[in-house]
Amino acid sequence: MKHRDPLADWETELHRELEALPELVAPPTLIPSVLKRIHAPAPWHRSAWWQWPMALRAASVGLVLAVLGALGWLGGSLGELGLAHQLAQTGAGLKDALVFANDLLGRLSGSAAAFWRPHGQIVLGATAALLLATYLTCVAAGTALYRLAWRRTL
Amino acid sequence: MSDPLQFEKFMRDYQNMVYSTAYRLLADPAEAEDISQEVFLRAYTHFDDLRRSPTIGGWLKTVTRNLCLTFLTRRRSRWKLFSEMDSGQEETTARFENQAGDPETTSQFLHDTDRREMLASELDKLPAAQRVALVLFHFHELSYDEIAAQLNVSLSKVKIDIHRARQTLRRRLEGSRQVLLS
Repeated sequence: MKHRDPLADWETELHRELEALPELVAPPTLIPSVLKRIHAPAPWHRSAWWQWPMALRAASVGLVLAVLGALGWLGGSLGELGLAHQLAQTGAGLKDALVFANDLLGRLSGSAAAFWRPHGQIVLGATAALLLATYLTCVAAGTALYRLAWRRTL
Repeated sequence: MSDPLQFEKFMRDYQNMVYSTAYRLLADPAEAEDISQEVFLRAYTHFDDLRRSPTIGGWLKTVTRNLCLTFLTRRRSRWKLFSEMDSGQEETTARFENQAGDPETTSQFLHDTDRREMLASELDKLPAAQRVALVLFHFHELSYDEIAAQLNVSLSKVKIDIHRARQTLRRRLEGSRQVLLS
């Protein structure tokens, strides 16, 4: 004798009934709303430049001219004030600083290697413990925040 | 450029399908209308290609579903929808399962004249996580795996939600039948 699974029967029945549910009638405001949004003019910042309002077009032209003028003036001033020479000197100073930094890093890494040999495992363990404690703190704080602040509002 | 008159006719033809799809997932008329608007605005930008496509209905349904799921996720309801198991809900479900009537009786009841209205009403009342999973399974015919991927939840969570949704519907419909008979 074949055993019927009541849950499977209900699933089949439910599927049939859900499929047979008629479509809902869309609200009458749907199509007018879509058409209104389609025909609404795009905001000026999303349209082409020549479609911007006249005042904004004039302002944008003025702004571009002002930026170009400022760049031209800056270029001329660099030449007159000898700023280019000063910048070159700054570059030479930068090179010396890089050489110094490289030397310092080399010394530091040597010291670190000397320290690591006897104390490496302790440092590693302490770092791992610190990371674990930080992680657990974050989880605990996040859980508390979620329960106290958000859960009540959902 | 799309012909406005043709697009209006296109909307008339598909508006109920799009709106129903959105409403089944969101269970909120205003939100469903908002999503429907977005779907048709997207359709408008692709209308020249879409109107010649034989799969236009499927395209609309997929876009509607994706927009609804994005909307649900952004609403932060995901915290509640897809990631937690409410203990109260478990108790309620257990009670439903204990009280669920004979499926054959329920099935007979479902052949009453107003059964579909009642089923649709009870579907709306389901918890969102259960409703969304059930709708994706039965209306969109997605597999459990596909639903889990779409909702970004575990497979077991999907199975539990759908199972509970079915049990809840079964119990509530049976309960409604008993009220009517008494």
